[in-house]
Amino acid sequence: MSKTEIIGIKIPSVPQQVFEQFLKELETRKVPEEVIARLRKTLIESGQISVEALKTALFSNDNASV
Amino acid sequence: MIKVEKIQIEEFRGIRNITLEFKGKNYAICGPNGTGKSGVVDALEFALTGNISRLSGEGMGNVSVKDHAPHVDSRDNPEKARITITFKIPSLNNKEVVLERTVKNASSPKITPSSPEILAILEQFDGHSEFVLSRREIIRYVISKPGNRSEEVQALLRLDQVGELRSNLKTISNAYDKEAKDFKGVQTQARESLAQVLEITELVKEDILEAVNSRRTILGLAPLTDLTATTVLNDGLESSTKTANTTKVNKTSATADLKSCSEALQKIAAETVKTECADLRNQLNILGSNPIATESVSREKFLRTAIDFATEAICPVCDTKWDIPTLQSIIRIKLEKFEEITKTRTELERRLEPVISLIDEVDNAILSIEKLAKVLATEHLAALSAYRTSLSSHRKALGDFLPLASAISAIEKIPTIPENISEIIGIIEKAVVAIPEPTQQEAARDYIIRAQDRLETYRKAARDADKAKQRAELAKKTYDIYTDVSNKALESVYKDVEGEFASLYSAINNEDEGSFTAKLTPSIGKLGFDVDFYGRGHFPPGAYHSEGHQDAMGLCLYLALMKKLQGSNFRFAVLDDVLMSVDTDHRREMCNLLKQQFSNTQFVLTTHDEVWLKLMTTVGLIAQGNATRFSNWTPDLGPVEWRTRDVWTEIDSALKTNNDVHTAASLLRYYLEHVFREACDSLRARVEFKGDGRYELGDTLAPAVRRFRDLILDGVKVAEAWNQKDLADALKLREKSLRDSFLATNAEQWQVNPAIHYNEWANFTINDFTPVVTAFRDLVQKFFARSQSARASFI
Repeated sequence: MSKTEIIGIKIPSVPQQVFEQFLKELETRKVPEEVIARLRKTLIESGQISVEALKTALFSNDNASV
Repeated sequence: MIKVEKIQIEEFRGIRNITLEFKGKNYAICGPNGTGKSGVVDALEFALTGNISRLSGEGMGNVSVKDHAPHVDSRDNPEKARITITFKIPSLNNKEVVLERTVKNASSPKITPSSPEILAILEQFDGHSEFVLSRREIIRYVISKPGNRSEEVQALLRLDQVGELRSNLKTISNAYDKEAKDFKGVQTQARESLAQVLEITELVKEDILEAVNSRRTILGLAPLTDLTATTVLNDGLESSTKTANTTKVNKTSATADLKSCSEALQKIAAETVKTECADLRNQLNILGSNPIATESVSREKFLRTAIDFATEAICPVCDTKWDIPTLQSIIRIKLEKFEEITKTRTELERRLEPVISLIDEVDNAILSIEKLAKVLATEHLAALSAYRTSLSSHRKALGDFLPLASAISAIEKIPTIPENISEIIGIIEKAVVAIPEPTQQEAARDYIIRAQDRLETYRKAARDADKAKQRAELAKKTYDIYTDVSNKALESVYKDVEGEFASLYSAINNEDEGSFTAKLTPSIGKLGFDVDFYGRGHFPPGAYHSEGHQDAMGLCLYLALMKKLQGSNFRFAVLDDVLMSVDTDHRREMCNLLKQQFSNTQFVLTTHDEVWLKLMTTVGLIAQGNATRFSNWTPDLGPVEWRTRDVWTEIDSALKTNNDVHTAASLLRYYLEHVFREACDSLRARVEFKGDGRYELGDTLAPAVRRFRDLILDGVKVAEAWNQKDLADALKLREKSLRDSFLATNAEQWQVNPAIHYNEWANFTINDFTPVVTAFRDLVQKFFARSQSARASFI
């Protein structure tokens, strides 16, 4: 539960809004579904935006050779 | 959000002990400079965030909250520096909470009661001191450079994550782009190596099939009809002969390998390469000799990593609490300083790429020679291996770039081929020449075996390169989409803020700038801000608008940003002397704006201007009684605040209990200054004007008494005109009583020499001073005849 939900008023922060729009745009631009799902989990659910977390979300552990 | 009911400040900044009752409403603190107003602002910020931004911001040197937040006399006792605020939470049925924080335990406040809901609400203040706005911040928003403004506004809107995600996606895209290039290079080499073995110039299907089938025919094998991803060139050979005989050297391919190696070594030792390496060495030396550059190249990666870690509330190393936005801002400022250096570094890395490719080519060629040496010259294997090790080491040093010393050392050695390598190659060449010419069948068999071997290598390299290309494309596509989305989103945010800002500013300047507009123009890392100047065009706020207009713009931009950020949760803000340059009319409009458009927000306002305080009260922004005046400040007492003090009791106590004339005299002097300034204001007394607005007792006492007497005498005349004899007599008595009290104070004598008057009180004995107190107490009571107490309540 987010802070804003706790106090009963749900106002997504600007970053939250931007991330949601980003994920929607990925869908329309034919980015693989599994990549979008991993990015959603990383950005929205876990709130992580570090380089390592994003690499894993983009390519999964098996395919991120760099 | 919260509504602050009360704050108690002990041994903090310039304050010894003070309690202010906000009652959940707007509150004003008025006082001349240096009377402790900002101490209250600092206390509010510290109580809610554990930090004081003006003590911990950039350029504060050795000043820190830990060492300098306590009162100067309590600097060794940070546990005594304590702020206790009582507040209510509207969203939790006005639940009352008490928060107590000391400088000693700044990161662990005591919260009573405590619950996850309450902590979640208080967490919104954590690391975010934007609820406090001082004139310094206003200047930063309005007339700072676009890059600085962008940072300030982004920090306020908590957009750090938006920029950080973009930066991280860019890092990933760059890394995968580099990987794709590396894999492409390996693929190219494998392709060239395959073409060399096939003895053709271009890898065209027909040419390959023709070359391979001519050898297969010699061996009596069926020709291949097609070349697909799974075609095996040596298909049909007996399994025992399918692999190359490692104890035997194929003269033809060995000759080709030697030729390739010779060409690669010629390339790396060419004059053009020597010149390029020498120039790169010089450039790297220049970069390394610049201390800032050295710091940049060595710290940039560290700082980028630091930004990754600066997302938790505490340091992952030492568990110290830190202010995330401030820390991230500091790191970004440092990274910006490295911007030019980073450009140089990127350019050098770009120029190093072909050198690295050349190293790869030589390494690959020497690997082929090493294989020949295993059969023809085993005694030289170690030397060849050592050369390949050194090539690998140079490649790593140039690829890593850091430390610079390693890269400089490597680039110097690249064009130099060890003498023994040339000798060894010569020895192997002789050995290959001495190999008898193979039979046609032997040559054909070796040909298709080696061709198959190189084809497999090429296929793997092609697969790897293709995967790397896909990864790079996905990384770039993701970055491009995010950049597009975030740009549009930020443009929309800024558009909203821009509209809100213009609307707020127009509201307070409706007379002459009713059609005012503004433009917030975001670009990468910058935020342009231009405002309409009376229909003549859009210009930076500092270009033509007055300082007062700029102050008003700063406050309006702040309010617009806070509205965007917090919406209906914008419930508490501290405005610290923010409208000092704004004239009275516009201040009135600003009061109306705050009252009408931010009715749910509790403002704590500070000002040094009595008139501004009056205005806030008159307009109704500040309710009667919800303000305090700091009359003066001393290190011993802190701010002197009249409204909540029973001054006469304090004076009596100082004299009778402590035998302290000095304290009593000081209290009396400042209290009388306050009372008679208020009296002059209320009675509209004529006081000699002073440009600095600092009226002392000698300036106000006589005019206040004179005006009061005149008003009473006017009353006598009116009463007599209406045949109200009793009332006229009562008023006459009151006038006489007032006159007698005034004479008892000996105030008339001060007019002879106002420079000494009450300043001498501190040197009196108790016996001399007590009648002075009695006389003034009597006089003050005459001004407040209807009140049982002589305490002033003008506000």
